Amino acid sequence: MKKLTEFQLAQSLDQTNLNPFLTYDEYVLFFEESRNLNFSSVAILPIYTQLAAKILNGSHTIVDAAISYPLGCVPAILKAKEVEHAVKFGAGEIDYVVNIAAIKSGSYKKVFDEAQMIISAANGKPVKAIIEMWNLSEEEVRATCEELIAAHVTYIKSSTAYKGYKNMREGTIDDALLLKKVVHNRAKVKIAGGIRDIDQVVKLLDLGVDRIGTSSGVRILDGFRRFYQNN
Amino acid sequence: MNNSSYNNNSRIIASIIDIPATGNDFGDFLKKIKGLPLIEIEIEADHIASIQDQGLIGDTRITVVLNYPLGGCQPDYILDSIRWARKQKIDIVCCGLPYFWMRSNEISNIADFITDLKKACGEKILRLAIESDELTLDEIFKICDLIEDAGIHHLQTSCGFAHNTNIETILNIQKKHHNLLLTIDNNLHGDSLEIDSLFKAGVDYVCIKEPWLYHF
Repeated sequence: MKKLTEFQLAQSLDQTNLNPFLTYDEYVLFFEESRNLNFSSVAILPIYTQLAAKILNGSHTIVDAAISYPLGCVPAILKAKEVEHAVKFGAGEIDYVVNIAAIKSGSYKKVFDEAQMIISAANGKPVKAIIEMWNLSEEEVRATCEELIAAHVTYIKSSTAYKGYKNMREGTIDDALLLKKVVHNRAKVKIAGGIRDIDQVVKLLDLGVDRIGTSSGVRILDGFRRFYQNN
Repeated sequence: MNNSSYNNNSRIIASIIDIPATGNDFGDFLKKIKGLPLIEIEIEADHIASIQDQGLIGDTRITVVLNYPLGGCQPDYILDSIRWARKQKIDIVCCGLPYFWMRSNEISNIADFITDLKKACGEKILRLAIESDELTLDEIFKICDLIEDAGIHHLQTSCGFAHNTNIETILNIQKKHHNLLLTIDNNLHGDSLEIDSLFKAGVDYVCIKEPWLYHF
């Protein structure tokens, strides 16, 4: 493992909670815990943006709004509108789902135009473009990444990790290897889906992954502390 | 078109939501449903133009899903989306209801929001979507009260992703809110026995993924 402090590790994690069925109080606890543990961001549904921004104000943790999540098949003009609302209410980063239907039908210009509209609406906030790698061929991954890089997205992210997709597979080391190879340092890389322990995180960081999306951030930090206590 | 009834007698809705809307599959899907007696085709907003280009709709309604399936969008954005959808050639807006307020017992916020949704829809039919298996029966009844008070007639009790509606819930809703028209998406493909058992239980409309498999 590379030499890493707990703070640095926490700053590599987007602590994710996309459960729409929690109460106000449960979300308050989630945001307070995330702030206290210094996660890089909380990745949440946009409806919680304002509450999160209030609680996280002045901390090391920012609000990462999940836009057009999880389906992503809305016109770019609407996605951009959703981004504008999220930024207005305090989002510091944007995770948006790329129009997978456009990729599948070979409409790569649509992917590029959409990315540009999102970036413009984000008004300088980092933008992460989510491509469902489990649903794309390697050729489609390559072509999509080229469009997103040309549009200057900040991150390319492997998956929504949405459990409602019956045929979804979780993020893998192979996804990270492919994405790193294709992107080749022209954008940052975020991997998400099924990352639950410190060993997986260490492998991904060693591959040069820049950010990890996980709902298991607390467990991962616990694992990190145990590792250092035992070594 | 009035807000409480449809013009054709079919009770099957073709759902093209979770392919996840791959371009190739979308075209193939449209070919396969051509000529089927469908009450609706349920799509995402970016597919509105392409489905109209196919010219196969006839008296089948086009339903666009918004704030779907998680119900986690910003309320102002949802209203913007509905205003946008209203300008397209669609008949029905199926909108996910935010659970945040329901779970936090902020009933007046939900009531106000439902009123805003109805207003934003104008002449279009509004169907509200929930995930009934994540809510208590009391919460479901509260939502039913609110949508009936707002003059809305359509409730979708599951969205066909991670959640289903069970028969007991349908029976309970029917007992107390028998005027509501219930739609279900239980991620069914076309199994006629399963679909007919939902109709028998009192469901009005069923969303299915492969309607060409159903015995119309």
